[in-house]
Amino acid sequence: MKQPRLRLLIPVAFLLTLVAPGLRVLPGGEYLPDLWLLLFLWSMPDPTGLPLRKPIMLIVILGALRASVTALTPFSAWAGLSVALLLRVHLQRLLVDARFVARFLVGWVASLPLLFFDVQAAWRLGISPDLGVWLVRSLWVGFLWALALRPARVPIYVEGPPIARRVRGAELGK
Amino acid sequence: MRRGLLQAALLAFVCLQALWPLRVIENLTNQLVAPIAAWLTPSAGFIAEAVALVTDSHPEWEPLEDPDGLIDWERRLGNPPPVARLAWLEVPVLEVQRRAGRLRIAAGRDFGLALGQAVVYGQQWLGRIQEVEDHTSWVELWNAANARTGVSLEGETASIAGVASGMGPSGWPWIRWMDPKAEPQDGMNVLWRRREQDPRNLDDLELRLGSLRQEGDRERDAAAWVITHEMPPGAEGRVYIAAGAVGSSLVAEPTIRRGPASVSLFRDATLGAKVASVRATRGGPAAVVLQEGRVIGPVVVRRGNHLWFLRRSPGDWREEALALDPEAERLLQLEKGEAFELEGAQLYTRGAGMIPRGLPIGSIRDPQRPLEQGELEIVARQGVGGGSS
Repeated sequence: MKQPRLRLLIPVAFLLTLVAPGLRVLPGGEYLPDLWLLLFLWSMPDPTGLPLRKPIMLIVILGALRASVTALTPFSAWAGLSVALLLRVHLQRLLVDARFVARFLVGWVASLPLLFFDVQAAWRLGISPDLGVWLVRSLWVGFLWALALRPARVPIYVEGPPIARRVRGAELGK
Repeated sequence: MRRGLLQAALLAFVCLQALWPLRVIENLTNQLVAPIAAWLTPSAGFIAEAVALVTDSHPEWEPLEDPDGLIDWERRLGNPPPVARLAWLEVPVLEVQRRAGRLRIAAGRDFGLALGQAVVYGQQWLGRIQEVEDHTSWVELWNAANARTGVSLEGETASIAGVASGMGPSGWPWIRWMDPKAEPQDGMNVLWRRREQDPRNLDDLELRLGSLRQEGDRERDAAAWVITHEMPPGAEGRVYIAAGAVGSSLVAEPTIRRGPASVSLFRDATLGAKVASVRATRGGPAAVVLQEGRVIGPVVVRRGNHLWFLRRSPGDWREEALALDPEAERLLQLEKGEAFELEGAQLYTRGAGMIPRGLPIGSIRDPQRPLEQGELEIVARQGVGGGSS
């Protein structure tokens, strides 16, 4: 998958931030997943071997944008997104992406750090968050992640015969 | 390798700050985010308001009978009777340290306070001035650990002199010394006994401490006389200090700042309807948000002029509020549950740190007030830190 550029991601993140409180007002809106986390997971490839400037910049920007429409500290988002990326990368290496359940598991587990840091921050503010609602939000992340990472994008032919590997390499632009 | 370590350290710092925030870093970050929030928060609020399909119900609120009720009652219950050649200086309490048995009060050298001055509430002895600063002082309560107070045990026929020693939060104060030939009895009234340097006229007040009770096993010679008592709830709000000479003002009320505000975001994008944001039209301290003269929630986060506050119904205030029972002439603490049985009890802020005492919250059974534009204020007690503990 081609990595989206920051100049595209930042306006999208701005737009998401503008509409996020409105979406929470909708019926059932409280169950919707964290939009900034979804955007981040979707836009970040495996950063191993790549310069970390882009993921770090995106984490900082998304955290700051999120903090302008929530009372939660931006550190909650920064920590949650960073650990989410680490977990996602490690789990993707362990699990076979071709299966829906595996992809769902990867997305769901990756959403848990943000949930954890958010719940901690909410408690510190004197709010008892409804954990059921927050769990549904994280399950949504898993579900949407499983849908977003369609099998066609999974490099299943990489381990195949040389001709298939070359075809896959060409697809990836290598 | 070095780069990897740096990244790991950065991640560890962010995680630690998220879990155990340092206030300095948190405030700095909020300042950095403030310019983004200044533009995004109201814009997002406008969109959220426009697309709102679910509106709050609009329950009726009873009109508030007496907005200054708590302060009036505290004065009525707490002002001691006049004593010849003495004046009573009324000083609001800024902070209550229950464990340490101390009160921080809003007067110091500026009101001529001195060490050892007597502090009372009504006819209840509270303690003495322990430390004097420029604008505040500390009062050591008589029941603080190891605080010693001269007492007089008053029975129907006998009067016994003794010395009481405080135990702090671990138990009732006990009688450390009394006349060995005396025969104290359960239920004796315990009055304050003045020291040589105290004004003689204070004796006329018959300041009370509590009631005498014997605890422990008398047969094993392991019994002690203790003083059961209850600190008057009004003494958390204001105390009275006996002074031979006072300045032009007898009330040391701290400055309370008020400023208009407007709603910038009705719901938090992550925490939902429990949290909302208002925009203060000017800077300065902010502790609570008022709507139509009633407190609707405490401010928890400040990012520039945008303040995030918790939306509370009156019953949610719990230990941060006091209920006034006008018929029984007493103040009720919500954590003891009595106030919930009282029909129509009016709640007021208890006051802690920057939250002023005595701000009206509403009737205990009132539902959460729908947040609306107009008649919003932010209020704070100025120049105060800390809180109840």
